[in-house]
Amino acid sequence: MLERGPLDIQAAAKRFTSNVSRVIVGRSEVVELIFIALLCEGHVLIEDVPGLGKTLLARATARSLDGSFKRIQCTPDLLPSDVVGLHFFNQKLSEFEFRPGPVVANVVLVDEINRAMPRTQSCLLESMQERQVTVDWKTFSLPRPFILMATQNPIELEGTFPLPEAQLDRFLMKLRLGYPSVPDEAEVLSRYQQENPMDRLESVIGTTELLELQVLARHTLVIEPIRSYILAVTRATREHPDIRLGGSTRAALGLQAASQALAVCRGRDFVIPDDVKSLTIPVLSHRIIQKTEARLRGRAEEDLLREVLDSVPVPAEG
Amino acid sequence: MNRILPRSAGALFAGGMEACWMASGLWLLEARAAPGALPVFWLMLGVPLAFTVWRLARTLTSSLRFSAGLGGGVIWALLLIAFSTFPVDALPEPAWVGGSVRRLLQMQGAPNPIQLTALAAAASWVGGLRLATVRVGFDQLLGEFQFGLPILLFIFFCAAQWEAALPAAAPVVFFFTFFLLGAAVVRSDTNAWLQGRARARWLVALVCNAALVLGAGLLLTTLVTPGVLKLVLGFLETLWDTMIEWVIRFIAFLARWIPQPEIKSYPMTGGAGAAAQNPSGIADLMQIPDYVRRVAAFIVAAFWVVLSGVCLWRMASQIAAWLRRRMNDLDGGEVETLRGAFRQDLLRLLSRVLRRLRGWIAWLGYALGRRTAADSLPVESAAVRRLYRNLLAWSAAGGCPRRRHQTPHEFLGRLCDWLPEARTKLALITEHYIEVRYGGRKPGAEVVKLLESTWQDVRHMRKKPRGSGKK
Repeated sequence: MLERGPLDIQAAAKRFTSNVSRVIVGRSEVVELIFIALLCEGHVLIEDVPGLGKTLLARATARSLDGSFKRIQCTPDLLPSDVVGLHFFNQKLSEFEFRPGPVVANVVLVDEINRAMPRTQSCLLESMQERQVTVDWKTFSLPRPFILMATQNPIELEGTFPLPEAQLDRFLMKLRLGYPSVPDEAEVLSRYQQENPMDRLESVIGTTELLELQVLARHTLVIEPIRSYILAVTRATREHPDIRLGGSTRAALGLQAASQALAVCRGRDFVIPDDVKSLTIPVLSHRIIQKTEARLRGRAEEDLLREVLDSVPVPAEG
Repeated sequence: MNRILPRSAGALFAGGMEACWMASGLWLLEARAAPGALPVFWLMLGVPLAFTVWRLARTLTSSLRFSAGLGGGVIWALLLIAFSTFPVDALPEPAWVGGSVRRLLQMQGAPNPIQLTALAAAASWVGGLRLATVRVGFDQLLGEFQFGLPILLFIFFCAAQWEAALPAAAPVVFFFTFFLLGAAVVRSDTNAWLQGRARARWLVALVCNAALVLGAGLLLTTLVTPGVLKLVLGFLETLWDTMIEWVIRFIAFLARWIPQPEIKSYPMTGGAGAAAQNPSGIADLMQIPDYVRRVAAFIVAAFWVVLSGVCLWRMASQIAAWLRRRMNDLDGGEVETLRGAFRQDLLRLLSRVLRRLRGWIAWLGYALGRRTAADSLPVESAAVRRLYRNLLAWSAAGGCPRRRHQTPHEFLGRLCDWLPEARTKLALITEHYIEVRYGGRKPGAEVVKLLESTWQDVRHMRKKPRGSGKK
């Protein structure tokens, strides 16, 4: 393994961001979060209204990595065997042979995940957490790195099945793209006028390099007060009067790993409270459940998390 | 700039409220323990004097400021003792100092007027220092009101029990006036409830609470006379005796079922043997000593007092909560969360007490030789952290405190808005602090030197009048 440092990760982040930004205009902060998820080998849920580039972002991410990529288009009649694979009878060899499903890849795009039935959604649980699939009592390891990127549309509810909490908790981050600004939208029109930039997108990071960078990111220093701060933030979500279900231990682990990755992306080899604060909303917003009264008052998860952050003292002097 | 005036005025009104209950307490002390010996008016002057001394000393280092506060207090107490106890002709003679110290330390016949004067002077001085160190916003003012009122009530309750004639009306009227005026002034810079449409309702809420607490206090003072107290205490004593008697009877009953050892009587100790054989001797053995009884009576009385206080507190907060709920239901009602009200104030007080206790315990551990992780830091790292602490204390004293949820970077943004001309210097200090604090870096001696000179530059920048550098 080559000797690498935070500056290598910073350079890789820059390469990745500029590459993806060729097709996704004006969303550099979201692209940076995707890179952080790659460094943590965490799964990403992209949620927004149709037509804002969710699938395009996932595809551009997969294209920027030099690894295998598979796409699953979820529909209500999609079966678990369509996802994880199945044993079929090979008449030539007169034996059962395993045919892997699309989930066996480095980057898997699960498009419109909430259109799949619960049992099909649940078949992803094992692959997301344990990075393996079990078919007919046989367990197969998934290739590393394994990153699942799912998209969903929050507006259309007919014919959809909301993701269970257990599955939401397995996503490291939930990202929203939002509508672009007028200049960004004009730039999109200009870039896509004659050709699709996606066609000329090249991979800029190899899977081996990504694995090395992941190891490096995990070695970022997290001092004890910062670790306590992460725990305090997570625990505060459980005690907030408007939150019915707070962050899990997995959420705290995710927040720590993502903070480490963000720190190295910024060229540091230690985590500071700003890293934790800036990642709290993407990492925790999909893992908390509001109380009904709070929802009726029109409060968003992001608002509640901001309140949580405002209530937890930061480890510093004074 | 607009916020500084209401805050300063807030301190003035909080001081006024503090002066009301403090003066009442001193009057009670004078009436009860040292009739005509306490210079109440001069003692009260200690509050503004300490406030001014501390505010003037805020530009000094912490040790010098502490010395100024302590030294000022000692001089103030000595002056008060001198002018209130000794004739003016005797003051040029140094003998009065020795006489004062002797009487101050004299245990026989304590408390004597000199001890009381010293105690009261220390209390007023500490009160003034406390006011100078807190930031008096609306929350603080409300806290002063909520804790000042029970103190006033307690003082008047004691005065009624001891039949001491106190000028009760003036402190109460001034106390409420200071609070209402202070609340109006402190909130005058924001579009808050005192200026909104719900102003009348909030005033009703406040007046109702005040009336409830005062009414309850009046009722308590009227009903709980010394005779009634004596009756209640007598009843409690009888109850206690009966309970003990029944316990003893029960034990004696049980003792009958236990086989008694055969006690031989010896001629030399015949009296003792006879006493042991006497069944009523068991009751003598179970007699509770008087001092245990007194302690138990005190605990029971304290329990009832605390219970009554909690009941009053709870009633007031329930009424306030109900009023707030009602106002929430009204269309267009401008309702604002009263941070620091009632229960939150109590919790805050308790958490402060706990924090202080933890601090004392940590200090004790330090004094006994246990060193914390911060003490084991390298000298350079400790210097950078101390420097940043100084920066925080200095900016807080100048009106730009770091909030607990702010990270050093976030606070840097605020600092730069507050002192734009020192942007690069503040950023330099903050970045080095972050590397030391979170990255475990050990800075070199030259870096520490650079940071110290930068810090001195920043301090001097603030001392210059605003706009003097502009052309």
